[in-house]
Amino acid sequence: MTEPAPAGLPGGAAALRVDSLTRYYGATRALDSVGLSVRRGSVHALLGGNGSGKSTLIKIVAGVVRAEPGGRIEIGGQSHDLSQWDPVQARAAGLRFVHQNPGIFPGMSVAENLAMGTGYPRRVTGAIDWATQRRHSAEVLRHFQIAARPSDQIDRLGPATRTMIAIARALQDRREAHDGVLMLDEPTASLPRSEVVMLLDALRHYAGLGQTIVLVSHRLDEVLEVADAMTVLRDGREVITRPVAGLTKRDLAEQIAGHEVRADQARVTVQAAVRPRMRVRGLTAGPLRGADLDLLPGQVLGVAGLLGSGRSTLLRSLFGLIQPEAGTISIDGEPAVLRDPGDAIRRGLAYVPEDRAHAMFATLSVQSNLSVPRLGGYWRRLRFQHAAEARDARSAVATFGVRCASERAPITSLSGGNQQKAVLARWLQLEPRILLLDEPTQGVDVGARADIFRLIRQAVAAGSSAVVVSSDFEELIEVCDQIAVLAAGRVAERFTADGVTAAQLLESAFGRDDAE
Amino acid sequence: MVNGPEPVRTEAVPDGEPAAASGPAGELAAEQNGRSWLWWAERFALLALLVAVVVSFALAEPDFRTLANLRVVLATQATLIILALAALFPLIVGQFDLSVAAIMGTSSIVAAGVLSKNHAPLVVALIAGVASGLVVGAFNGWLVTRVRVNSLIVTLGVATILPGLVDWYSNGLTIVSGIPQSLLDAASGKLLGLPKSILWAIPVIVIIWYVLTQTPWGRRLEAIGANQEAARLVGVRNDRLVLTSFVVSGGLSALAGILSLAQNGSADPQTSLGSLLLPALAAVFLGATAFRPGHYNVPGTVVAVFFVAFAVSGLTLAGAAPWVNQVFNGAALIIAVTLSTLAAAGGGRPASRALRSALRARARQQSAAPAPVNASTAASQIREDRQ
Repeated sequence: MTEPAPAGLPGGAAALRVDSLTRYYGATRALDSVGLSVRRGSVHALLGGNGSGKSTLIKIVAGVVRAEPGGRIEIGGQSHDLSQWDPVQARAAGLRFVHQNPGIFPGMSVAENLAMGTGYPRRVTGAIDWATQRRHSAEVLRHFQIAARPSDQIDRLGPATRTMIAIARALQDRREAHDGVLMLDEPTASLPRSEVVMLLDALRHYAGLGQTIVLVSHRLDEVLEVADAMTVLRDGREVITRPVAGLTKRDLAEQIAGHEVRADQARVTVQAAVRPRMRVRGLTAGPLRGADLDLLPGQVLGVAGLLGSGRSTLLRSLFGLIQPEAGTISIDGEPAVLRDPGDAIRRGLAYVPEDRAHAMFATLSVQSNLSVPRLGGYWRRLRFQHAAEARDARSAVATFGVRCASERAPITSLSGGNQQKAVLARWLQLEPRILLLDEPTQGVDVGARADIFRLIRQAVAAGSSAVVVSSDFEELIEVCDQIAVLAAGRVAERFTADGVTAAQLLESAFGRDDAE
Repeated sequence: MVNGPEPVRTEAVPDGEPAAASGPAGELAAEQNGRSWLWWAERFALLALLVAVVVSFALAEPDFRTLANLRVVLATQATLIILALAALFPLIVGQFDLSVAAIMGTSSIVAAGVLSKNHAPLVVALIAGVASGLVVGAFNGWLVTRVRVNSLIVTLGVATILPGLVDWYSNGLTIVSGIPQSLLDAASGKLLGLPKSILWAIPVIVIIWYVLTQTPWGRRLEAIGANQEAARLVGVRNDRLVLTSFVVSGGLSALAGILSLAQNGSADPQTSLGSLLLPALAAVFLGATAFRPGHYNVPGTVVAVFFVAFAVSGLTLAGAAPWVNQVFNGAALIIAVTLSTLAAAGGGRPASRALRSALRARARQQSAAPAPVNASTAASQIREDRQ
């Protein structure tokens, strides 16, 4: 590829410059006077952990989110005010975006998918001119060196090829113009390794043709492999912008995490001699490749990991929603085969999914939402014990602090936080032995978040154990006793929650050089 | 993984809507001081309309207020009630069954055919008739739950096949011979002053109401209809229950077929073409606007059947042309469901709350800059981030 750029990246050849970009969410500064300078024809990596501001930056550049006044974007030799920037201007300026979920239309041909970007060529009659569209598609495919035919069904192609077609669709009208910028958000997150190589080769090829590319990726190997330069964001600030050449994966992780990290004192190597409440060995399902996990009685175990690390897959496998390809689960020393959630519930497990929409019965009352896993218990003397059901619901509402007008009110009349507390209360009233919680505080306000933490701690004090998944590592440190980090499909490391920092968890989640 | 800022954690604006204006305390007060007129109006409007229709036609039409007319209406609606209740089961779990009327016609032909062609005992004929309905229902349910074919398509196909088979089996002729008098006696004539056919329907109505509201099984069906995924997560065996709901639907349709055979003393292959399908479905939908608005329910369905039946009877006696029946039936359905939807938008039902909270959130965002983020926008932001 191109020769390494000198340090500091001279601004003369910049295809894209962003200056003094600030954005608040409420009182939080999501981006604090951030700058970004991308050299023409280079692959520029944008790196950072959760909440570092990468996504906000991309959204502002795309014109989807507005910046505070003062931020400027310079592209194609023209400077614009980012507080007035919109998607139409962004497109006109030659900015193109391909998201992690690249918006491919399955069931349609390559030519049809390409036409979704530009519209179809028409004949005089108004009918689609398929011959022209096919010719155009063939030309685009040739230009972007994609091994597919216009008539191919898109779902028959490999995932990397599909992503390349999404890229080609974004860039098809800019094949000769080199003042635009292509921004790719985690394009490889869901690709297997072999496909990743293919996509990275393609990116390097496009950069060689003069295309400027900004790449957001969590996979540091890829960044080292393909990027010329990088900008690291941390807590909404630009930490460093420099060429990638000469850096190691470890260097990148430390820049992202913020300091040199050796969490030896917090790392747990020897397990306590207590019999675990739940023991998982060699769990293989989806992205998980032989994960081992021990959950002790009375423990809150956090699971940290990056997007696609298998955090949700782990919980879903433990609840019988996914049948693992391999591995064993035992509960209190007895092997457990969980064929469906019913099996899991009988074993004393409870699961709250990541998306509340999947847990809540929106058309039903708070009471019905609470009683649904124990309906059988209300069937006595050939009658449904409505009075008992209402009594239990009232008591659960009071015990677990669900704020609602009445237990008969529709659950959708509750605030998001109270809906989540109700979903949690549904299980807590059954006194489960093992709570599996996927992002239990997602989309709730601070007050409800504190309540939910308190409920988890209370349940554990009363004899339950809990596994908590969260993208928010600070939150894990706050609520958990121990934290297991998932990386490369395994539990890479375990830490005690006192003593570990979010930065250390992040670094561990990115995977250490010595861990491979 | 969540990138970008985490407004969820830092935003102090309480999420969700009850925080605004009325607040939980206000709603609690409303709850204790009795319900708003809209709450009552919505639940009992259909029943009030039924009473109003009966009273006004009774006052206006001497023929309407005869006992004979009352008996005719009750007697003729018995099969439709059972058929509508058959369609109710799959609807509760969120599936369509368009084959109920075809099954009804088929079962009555099967039972009649077994009697007249094979000279079998009545019990055997009844079992054959009901079994035919159960088998077709099981077939529907199997395709829907195991093969995951859309229920609308499966049952549409079945509703198209059955009349063909019936035509082949009966040579297109109404079966009139061999129907024992005992069967006819069971469903025609009066007992205690009421037509016997409606007396057969009453226990069916009660049992279905009981099963749906007084057993855990009925509550689980409702849970599936409310949210399949969530039902699965609380250990409900969705597939098994959905399959069962189709079997029950088939069985009840067959029962309706046998009742019509007993009432008429004959089985008409034309019945399997399904002319009763749309009235049955319309009654279930109309019924879902009453008693438990937004939920398919047994009393609502029954009242809906009688509301339409009495109105049509009154109109006919008043000299309205036959086409008025159809127009009335369709218009009643559309108007009721429209009003119910509007009531949901203005009253205390979920749809309205979501709408109002969205409007408030938007108002907040427009009035303040930088925009406060509430939980729902934060959640959608996170979803965006995840994509």
